[in-house]
Amino acid sequence: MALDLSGYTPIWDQGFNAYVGPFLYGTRADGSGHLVLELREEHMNGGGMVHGGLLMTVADVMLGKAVNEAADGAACSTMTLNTDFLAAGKGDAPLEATAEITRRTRSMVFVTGKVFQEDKILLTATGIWKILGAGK
Amino acid sequence: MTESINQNPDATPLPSPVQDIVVPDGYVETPLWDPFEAFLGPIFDKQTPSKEGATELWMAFRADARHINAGGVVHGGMLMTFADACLGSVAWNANNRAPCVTVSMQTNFMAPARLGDLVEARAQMRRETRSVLFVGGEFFVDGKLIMTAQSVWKVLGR
Repeated sequence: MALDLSGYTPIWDQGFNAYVGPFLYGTRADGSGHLVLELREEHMNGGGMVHGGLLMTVADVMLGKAVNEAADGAACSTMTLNTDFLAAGKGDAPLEATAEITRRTRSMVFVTGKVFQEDKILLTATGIWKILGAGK
Repeated sequence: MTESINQNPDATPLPSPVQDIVVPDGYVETPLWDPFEAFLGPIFDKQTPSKEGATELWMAFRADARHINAGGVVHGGMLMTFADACLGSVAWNANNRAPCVTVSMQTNFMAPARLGDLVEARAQMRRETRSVLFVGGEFFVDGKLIMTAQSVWKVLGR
């Protein structure tokens, strides 16, 4: 089933995001954020599957976007990211990702999310971001 | 001149998109087989004796404009992809180059890497069982620790 990407826009379409992406971001009917990356040959590993580094990259971009919104647009940086690789990804469907904020403190945001293709989860991620400039 | 650890007699390394590659002192250019690593590289490696007399694997990349995030520092995705390449090299070589896949990776980001920085990694096998490998690495800029990564790898078919 083709994804309806009307209204989706690239997240910061410069530097790494432009080179590896575009990482298209939009909002689904239930209001949750949704990231989509169309796969290309250069995203793969030597075995023809999606490179693990790309799966972690997509998680970092999606979780970072959710964190940035939870921090009301303040700049944030990743402190820790834990990723589990549940299944290998093939090149035949776009990568998608979603994230959920689990807790926000004055200076930190806790977040969890997943990277998937259609209904198959490839990677789950949990991370903690620091809100920059929010003190110790 | 020492040889890169990443040899594969059965395949031709992928070309780098970077022209005029400057190899850092003491390193050699790493032959790359994964399109995503070649796309983001070049990557360099060297082997040095550790204090305990064992061989340590070091790998490095030079941060350029392709690697930068909205905050003006090296993107976490780039650092984690580099980590996956480094720790994967240890896993692959320790295991007679049998295919293995990342099952899990935990990354702590302590300080940013910036445009022009040489990011260097020291990667080590922590423990090796018949079917599972535990590999860790530390990442430095100018000798300062900026990141650590721990990973679990599954050897396929065991």
